[in-house]
Amino acid sequence: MPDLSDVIIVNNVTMRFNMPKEKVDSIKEYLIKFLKRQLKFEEFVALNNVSLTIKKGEVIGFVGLNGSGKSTLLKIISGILKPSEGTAISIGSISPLIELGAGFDMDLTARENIFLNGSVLGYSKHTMEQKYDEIIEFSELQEFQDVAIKNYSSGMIARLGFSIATITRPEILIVDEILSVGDFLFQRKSEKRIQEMMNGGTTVLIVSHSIDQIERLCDRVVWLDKGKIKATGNTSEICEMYKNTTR
Amino acid sequence: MKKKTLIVFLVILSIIIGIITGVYTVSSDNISNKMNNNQSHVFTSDNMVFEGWQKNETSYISTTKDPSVTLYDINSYVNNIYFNGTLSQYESATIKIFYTTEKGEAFTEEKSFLSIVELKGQKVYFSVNKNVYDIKIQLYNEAGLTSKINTFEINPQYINFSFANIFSFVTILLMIVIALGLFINRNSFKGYYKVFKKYKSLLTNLIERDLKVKYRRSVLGLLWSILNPLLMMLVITAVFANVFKFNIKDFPIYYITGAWIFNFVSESTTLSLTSVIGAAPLIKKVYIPKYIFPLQKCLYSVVNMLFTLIAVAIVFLILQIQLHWTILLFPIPMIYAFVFSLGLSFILSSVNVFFRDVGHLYSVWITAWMYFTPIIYPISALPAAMISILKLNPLYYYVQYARDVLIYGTIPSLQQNIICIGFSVVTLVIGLLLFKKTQDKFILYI
Ligand SMILES: Nc1ncnc2c1ncn2[C@@H]1O[C@H](COP(=O)(O)OP(=O)(O)OP(=O)(O)O)[C@@H](O)[C@H]1O
Ligand SMILES: [Mg+2]
Repeated sequence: MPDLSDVIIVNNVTMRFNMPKEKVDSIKEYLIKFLKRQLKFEEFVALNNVSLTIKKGEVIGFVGLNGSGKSTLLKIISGILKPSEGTAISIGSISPLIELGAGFDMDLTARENIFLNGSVLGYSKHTMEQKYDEIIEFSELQEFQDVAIKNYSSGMIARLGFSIATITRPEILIVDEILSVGDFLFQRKSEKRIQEMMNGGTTVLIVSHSIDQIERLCDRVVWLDKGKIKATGNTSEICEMYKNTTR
Repeated sequence: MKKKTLIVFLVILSIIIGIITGVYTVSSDNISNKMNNNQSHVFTSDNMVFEGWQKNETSYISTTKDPSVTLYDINSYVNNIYFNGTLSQYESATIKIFYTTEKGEAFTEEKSFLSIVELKGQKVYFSVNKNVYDIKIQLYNEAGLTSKINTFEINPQYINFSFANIFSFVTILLMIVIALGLFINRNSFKGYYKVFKKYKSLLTNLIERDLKVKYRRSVLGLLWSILNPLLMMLVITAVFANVFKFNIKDFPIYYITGAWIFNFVSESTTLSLTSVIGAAPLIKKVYIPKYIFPLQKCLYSVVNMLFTLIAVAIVFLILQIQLHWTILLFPIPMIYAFVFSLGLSFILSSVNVFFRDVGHLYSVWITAWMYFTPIIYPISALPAAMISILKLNPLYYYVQYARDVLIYGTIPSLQQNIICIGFSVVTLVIGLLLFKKTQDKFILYI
């Protein structure tokens, strides 16, 4: 029986990627390969039967080595990817900060990009008009708001992206290694903003390679290893175990 | 269970309405025959030969020449005249119609026809909204050529037919909408609508961006959307008008109305083809309903189509083409073409994700398609065998429809409407099903 306070229920999720040995993307090749029965895919299991429930207001950290499936799991939770097997249900609005500045057009100005990116995230025009000044202020880009963003530094673009993505308080916030964008002053500021959201009752899922950060922010940690949950539980306990892994 | 019976009921109802309106149409023709003592209103003249531009007494067909028929008996509006000519190819003509009302008022109406398209054994509609007693018809054609009108036919009840036509067309459309509404689960429909509303501003933003990007750094900017079709028209007219021996006044309008439809379909589908692949950075980063992308390209093309419509209006004004009220029906061919393009866009954009060859093939196909649609050439220039193949081409019907309402001032028949709706709806349904089935896999292939 799912608990009423569960906001994310991941049920036996398996994610398989077809990795064709060579990329087949023309009909002719496909037909030849198909006729010769050479159409073999190397199946790669990025997530293997993962189940997880997260309660409202929890702050969950995800740790694991590169390629262990953290980003894949978060993408499934936020609906970007559909799992090959199993189900992932989430209740409430999700703000996925998986990659910042989705849909930024380098030729457009910051002003235009704010409205474009806002609509990509599903915010109404009205909301964006209301929050415009706040976004500019938070990203500290006042002097640059009418400059095409191709003339920005990469940190500035990331700052703009972060400011837009966190403008409303979502019910679920998914943060994939984006707390390290910007200079240290901005990092501090963005961490503070996320902390504010946590205090406001937002459920937060954080992926970070900075164990420090995880220990500072999270209530609970999930350790992914080669697509499986290796351990889950108390932050300090899991972090201690994780720190002692060797390859 | 309940839903199924409702659908069956609706289908039966629409068939009944179709039959009733069809019968009504037939009977209205019968009535007109009865009113004239079972005389059909076909007037024949074997000696109607037209030579050169000079006015020639023998070039008249007169209804009073046939003593057994007096149009006065009909005592009704003569709304449309069908000409059955046997013009040879490559001739263009102007028809002058002189008519006298029962009160003795005389009128003249002149109309330039894209004759070679329409008069070759085909019917041409000519609207005369007066109570007519006597009709004389005179045909002019280019000097040195001869042409002939064998018969012309008058259908005084035509306007009733059109109402029946519009009525049944609207009903059938409504039935389709209702049936679709029932097929789709109501709750999931609500869900779709909610998601669509959420991403509506994304749609408008993306379209706006497309427009901005298109005209960045050009001095004339948006004006190009109007200038472009006009310039294209000039070039095509210069090159082709002579090839097909068109009346020089007719060709530009003939071309631009065809290109109006064709270019929309071509632009929207070509852009949609890569729309999903092009949106890869977005699709990989955030959740967005994927149908937004082909839809965006199609709507963007609609904006361009509206600009082209301004160009069409300019051509109408400059060449002083006669205006008919049916011009107001211009959204109908637009909607047909839009629905068709959207369906095709769904098919192309999803298939192209898995097989990139489609993109290369399609650009060849578009060129072939253009020559396969009567845009720069008149239908009569085709051999009969080709015409029957042409009838498999949906664009042929949309282009025909657009010309009927914009140039010829006729209301397309029920059959024409059904064919158009059929092509559009079937394409859209196939597109939606295919897109829906494959969309979850897009992200793995882009
Ligand atoms: N679209 C894809 N096609 C094929 N394989 C993929 C795809 N996306 C991810 N993978 C594979 O799935 C595995 C897990 O990737 P994922 O990005 O989830 O790792 P991660 O835990 O986020 O790693 P990192 O710490 O480097 O961010 C990787 O081995 C990767 O190669
Ligand atoms: Mg990752």
